[in-house]
Amino acid sequence: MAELTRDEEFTAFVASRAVWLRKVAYLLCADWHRADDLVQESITKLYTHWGRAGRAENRDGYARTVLVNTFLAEQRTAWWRRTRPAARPVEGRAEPEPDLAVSLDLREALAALPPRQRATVVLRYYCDLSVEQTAAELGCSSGNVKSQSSRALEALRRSSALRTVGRSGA
Amino acid sequence: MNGEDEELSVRMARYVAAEEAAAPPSRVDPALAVLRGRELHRRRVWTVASAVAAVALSVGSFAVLGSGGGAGPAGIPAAPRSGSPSGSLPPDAYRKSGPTERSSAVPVVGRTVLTVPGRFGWLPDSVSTVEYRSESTGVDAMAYGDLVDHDRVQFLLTAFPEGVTPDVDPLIGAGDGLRVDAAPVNGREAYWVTSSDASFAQGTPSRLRFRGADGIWYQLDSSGLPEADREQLPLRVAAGVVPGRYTPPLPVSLSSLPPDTVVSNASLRHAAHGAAPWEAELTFQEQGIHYVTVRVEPGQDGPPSGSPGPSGSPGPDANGFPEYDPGLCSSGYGVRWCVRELQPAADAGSTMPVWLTRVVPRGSDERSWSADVLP
Repeated sequence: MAELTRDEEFTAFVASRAVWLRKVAYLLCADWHRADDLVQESITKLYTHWGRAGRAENRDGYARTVLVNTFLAEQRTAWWRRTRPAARPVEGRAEPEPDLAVSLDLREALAALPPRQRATVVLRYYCDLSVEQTAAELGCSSGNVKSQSSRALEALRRSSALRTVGRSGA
Repeated sequence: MNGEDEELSVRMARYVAAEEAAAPPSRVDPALAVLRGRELHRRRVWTVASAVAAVALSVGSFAVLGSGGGAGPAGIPAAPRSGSPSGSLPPDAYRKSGPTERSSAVPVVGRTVLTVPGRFGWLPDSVSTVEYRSESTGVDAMAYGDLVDHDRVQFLLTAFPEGVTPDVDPLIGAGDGLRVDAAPVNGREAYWVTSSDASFAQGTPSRLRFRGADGIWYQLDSSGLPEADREQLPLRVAAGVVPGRYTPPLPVSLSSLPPDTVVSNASLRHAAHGAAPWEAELTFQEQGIHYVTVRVEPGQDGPPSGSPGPSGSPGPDANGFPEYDPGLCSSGYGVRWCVRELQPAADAGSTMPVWLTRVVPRGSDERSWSADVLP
């Protein structure tokens, strides 16, 4: 019965978090199919470490850390068929709506960031983690998170993703 | 957060929500994660058992294949190939009835469920296990050693479809994908796939592509090799590869299958040096969501004994992972066979015994195994 309980617990957890994990994965890789692969691989790893995950104070955070690390590891080691960011054509819309234009700008700007900066931005600004929490998830120092965030924001400002905000309007 | 930070948070949430509205249906499958998670754990446990058994059973084999090895096939089951169909059926011929949206089936031709594009010949002594796998994501042959400091020697053999000349990805790591000529393999064209990103290239598995005698491009991914062997060992393994489809005989067949059932995984793993141990595993997907695994491994001699039943209650191992629960098992004729479902259905008490009766073991003598698996 112990294993059934474990499997049921795992399945229930994943079922309730899959949509959220998929969104985080999409922000990291900008491709839904790849996001599915990332989440699938991550939850497989999560299953093999479910005992440890169960002991974690923040199980959501544990799952997210596995996901981000899987993404970063793939960037380093996998022979993923990657296309250059911003190369994707916008199909069927010569003049995107304003909201869509902002989304497209953001997608291209995020895709142009180096993977670690992108992960930092997603954790800080989508997952609303503090600098310290982000550092813990990425396994680096707070100073490193600050510098990664700073560079990423600078790049986003240079793109049109943040151009209409704050100082860019000055 | 300052205003700019908050604005970025809002834009990201809005962006992902807008993208999600047009996203394809999710393919994330918790049951599949359980299946593969167990398989990963099982493989780790199995390689340890394999190493122990190999030492115990086949010291002679090690001597024959010792340092320097030989050019002949190493560790491939010597059973005659039987019933390996050369014809092909329509792509959906494997389906027992109408496909379901969540089906993830392996290619099935006739009664055969496991056909790999080639098989290994020479392998270094550090390899303890050869495995043939077929999943919805592809088929391959894999040879690997035991875990040492969380790493192990591994060779993964795949092939491109006939007539396809592969390209090198334009972007690999943070650099350009590169094609670097390799020494010819058996006198035929070969090259390494690498990256202009030096740090990426150093830390990745080496990827060798070579053309087989059948004109097909094969790909050999190698990892866990000492730096000094990263070029020569893959070339030597590639030279020993026996090109061409290989349908390994399996120690099991099914007498019947329930409606709307597809094969989602099929694998046979075998000690690389010597005849035993071995293990075959088939996973079936019923009604698109219910997974049932049939596993066969060496067991007791003699006719089937006693009534089938679970063998041992699972408890956590030293790593907190539950002991492998084989499910409902029976044994005889030197074989033990088990059926197990991933997520027990309400009527599991009645369906698993029925599944067990569908399993037809072919004994421990590999000469009696067959590629004909499905009813």
